[in-house]
Amino acid sequence: MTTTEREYRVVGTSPRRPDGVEKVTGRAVYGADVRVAGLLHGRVKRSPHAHAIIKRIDTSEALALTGVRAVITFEDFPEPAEPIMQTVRGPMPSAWDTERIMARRKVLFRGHPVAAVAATDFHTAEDALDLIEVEYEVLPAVTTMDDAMAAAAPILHDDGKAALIEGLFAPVDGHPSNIARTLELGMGDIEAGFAEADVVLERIYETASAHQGYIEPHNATAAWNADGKVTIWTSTQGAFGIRGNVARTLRLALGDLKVVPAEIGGGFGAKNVVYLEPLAALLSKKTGRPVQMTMNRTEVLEATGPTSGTRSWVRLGAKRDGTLVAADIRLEYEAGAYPGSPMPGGARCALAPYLVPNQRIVGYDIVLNKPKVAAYRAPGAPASEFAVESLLDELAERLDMDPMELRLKNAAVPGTPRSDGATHGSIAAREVMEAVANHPHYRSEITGQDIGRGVAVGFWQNGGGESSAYANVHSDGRVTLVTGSVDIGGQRAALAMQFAEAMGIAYEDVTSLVGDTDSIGFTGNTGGSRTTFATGWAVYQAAMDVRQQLEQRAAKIWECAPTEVTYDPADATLKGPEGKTMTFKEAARRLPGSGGNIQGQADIVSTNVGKVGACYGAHIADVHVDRETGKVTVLRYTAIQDVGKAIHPAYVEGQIQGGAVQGIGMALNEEYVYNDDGRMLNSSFLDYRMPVANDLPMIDTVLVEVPNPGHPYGVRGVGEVPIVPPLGAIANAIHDAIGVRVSRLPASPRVILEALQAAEGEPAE
Amino acid sequence: MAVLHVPASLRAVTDGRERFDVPGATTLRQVFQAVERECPELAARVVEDGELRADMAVAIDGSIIEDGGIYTEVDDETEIYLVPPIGGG
Repeated sequence: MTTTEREYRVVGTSPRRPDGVEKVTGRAVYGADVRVAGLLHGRVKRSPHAHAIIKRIDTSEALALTGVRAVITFEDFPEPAEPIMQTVRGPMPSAWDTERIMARRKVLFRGHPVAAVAATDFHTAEDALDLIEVEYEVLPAVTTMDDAMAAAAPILHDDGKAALIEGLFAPVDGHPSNIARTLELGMGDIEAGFAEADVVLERIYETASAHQGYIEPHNATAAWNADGKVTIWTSTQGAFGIRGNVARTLRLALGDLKVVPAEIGGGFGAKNVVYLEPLAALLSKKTGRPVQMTMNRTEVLEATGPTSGTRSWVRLGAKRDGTLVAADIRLEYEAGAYPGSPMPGGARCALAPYLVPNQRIVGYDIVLNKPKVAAYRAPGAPASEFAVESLLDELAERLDMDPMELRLKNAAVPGTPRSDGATHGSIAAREVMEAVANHPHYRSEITGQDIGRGVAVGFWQNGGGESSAYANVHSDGRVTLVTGSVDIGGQRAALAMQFAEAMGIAYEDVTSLVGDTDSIGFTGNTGGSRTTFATGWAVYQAAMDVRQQLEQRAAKIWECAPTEVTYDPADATLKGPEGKTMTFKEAARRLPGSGGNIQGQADIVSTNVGKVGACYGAHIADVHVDRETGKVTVLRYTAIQDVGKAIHPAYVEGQIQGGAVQGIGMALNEEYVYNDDGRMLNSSFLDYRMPVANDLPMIDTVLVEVPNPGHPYGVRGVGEVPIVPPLGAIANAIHDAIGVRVSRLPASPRVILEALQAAEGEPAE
Repeated sequence: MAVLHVPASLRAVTDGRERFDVPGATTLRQVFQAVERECPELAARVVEDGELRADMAVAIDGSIIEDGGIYTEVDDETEIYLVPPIGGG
């Protein structure tokens, strides 16, 4: 389905990816492949306790081991220059971010770094870890939100620094609290809204902590030169974000620190965070040699951010005809050991697909003794939207309405007020929902026992911000395009395509590269579904700069005014007075002799030149539930999404399929399992069960193209929203199959069997 | 006149006041300067060192503005909302 009317030559095709050959032949250089002369290897000594006071650290035996060149602890870190740092989740004591990277007085999660060592080889570094003596005073671990919010709960952040920021860890009933922040959104009159309702339902839903599950573990290689200049190679979603964080942590000038982004083996939000980079840099400073560090899978799972475990209480009120009149929602999100859960994202997205005139959403950001959570694809949205989509399904059943009919009746449209006070701009919620209702999958009959179908809708808004692009025009008519956006999901191709489209030249004539922090202007992270939109804007503007410079150069050659020359991208030709023409290739050839080669350039704030897009997805899932084993098998799956204009449709489909699979993993398999001491019991991919290819059917995709009017090619960010609907779609399908509601995810065999037994009135074993 | 709507989470610093009407402002900066005269606590939650704070986003007529947005033009029809920003993955 498409509403796109413009004709494109490059946009909308699916050319070969520029990084494909290197990746499939194993030649692509990932962070752990970086080789520098004199390289040392670093390892991290981590806390075996989830909550403890560090009484003493003795590194002498480790330092005495042959081959060990340096050991660092918190004592090697400088005091922060500023006591408070600003983050998207609110101001934070700067010291806490340093202490997250290397524990100071307390360890707050199992796996918390307490020391790091550099040695001539990996195994010596590993052996040295055992020689570092750490004496702990073990404290009770806070491993659940109920424990964290109990009146007598052990308080994680008891160092007094919370007082630096008004409202941070505000006392509850006069007692210190582990609730970092609360947030309230809403509109209308909630009591009057529920008074209008003919049907009111309320339920509690829970989701488990799940990891982003990227294949490539975190890594960093650092070289601290004698002149004070530092270079870091790392696997990251944003070189500039890493530069800023490391510079703040180590009190380096931005100009003294170069960050080179390596190829990346997946990030999904979690590779916006600094873990190893400052450690490798300090070890390099201490040894005078470059130092490389990599995590193993257990370290990744135990010590890098998963997404929050959550609990959502939802109350919905509707009229008999299905019109939603009121919603009341309470969200509790685990933040891990430090404040900053994605609860605000959950709050903003929970009701975004719908018009609900009277609503209140209250969110809580709660710390406990687990690793600090990190962003994960549409951060916060899957949990809250799972809750709302599940209750909507139940509401449809109560009202004897088709689930999509209920959703369509309440669908948000442009101008609908949002929970956060803004109003929806260009959105296509209705178009997506109609595509579901009319899809052959949705309209097909379900046959077979214990087989059911579920649907759910999801919302996410892509980000904007700063991006840079430089386009170097070569005299042979080829162009090297450099941007600051790390390529995770095909950005090099998608950006080259937009440049080629703007110039009217062949995609194959554009070589697309990712610059480091010294060679390209500031660019925000590849995250928030922003890159194809925001850096796409920069690329488009760089092309406009090239076109203008070519017009001026042609005017010089033709001895006319620049206003008499026009660059026509339809045939990539400069057109001047008296019918004069010059192709792009010919103009490029004449550049050296007419004033020198040129480079197009754009450093933009995308939201100052366009408008970010909002994105809706809706998924249809058919499942079979085995009543004996509790196993849920996905039989058929269709993901429908408004993608604005798909620049590279094959990549877009890949993003949707990948997001859907991760959401299915959250729905059926993935969860962190802890014991009472805060030790993760399934810290390997053998025990942390992610779905693999033979677990799933083909994920069919439908691209609904309603262009974003705030972008020259109509781009909306597509990468995140597909992780949102699977949780609700799968849970609703399970109910349709066996008649029981699953309110706690993942719907593992145990959860299914417990739900069945509860429905049959039997106690769960 | 431009209207600044106060979200529920910030009404504690405005004594429950839900909106500020600011006549004659031509930029967002001027709006917050006017608000600061009436309620400095609210202005401080949004503006710091002359720039919009990172933990507060501003929506004008339904669209969230970003970096450098304090110089965004407004007029007497502008509706301004303060919303929490969200980070992407």
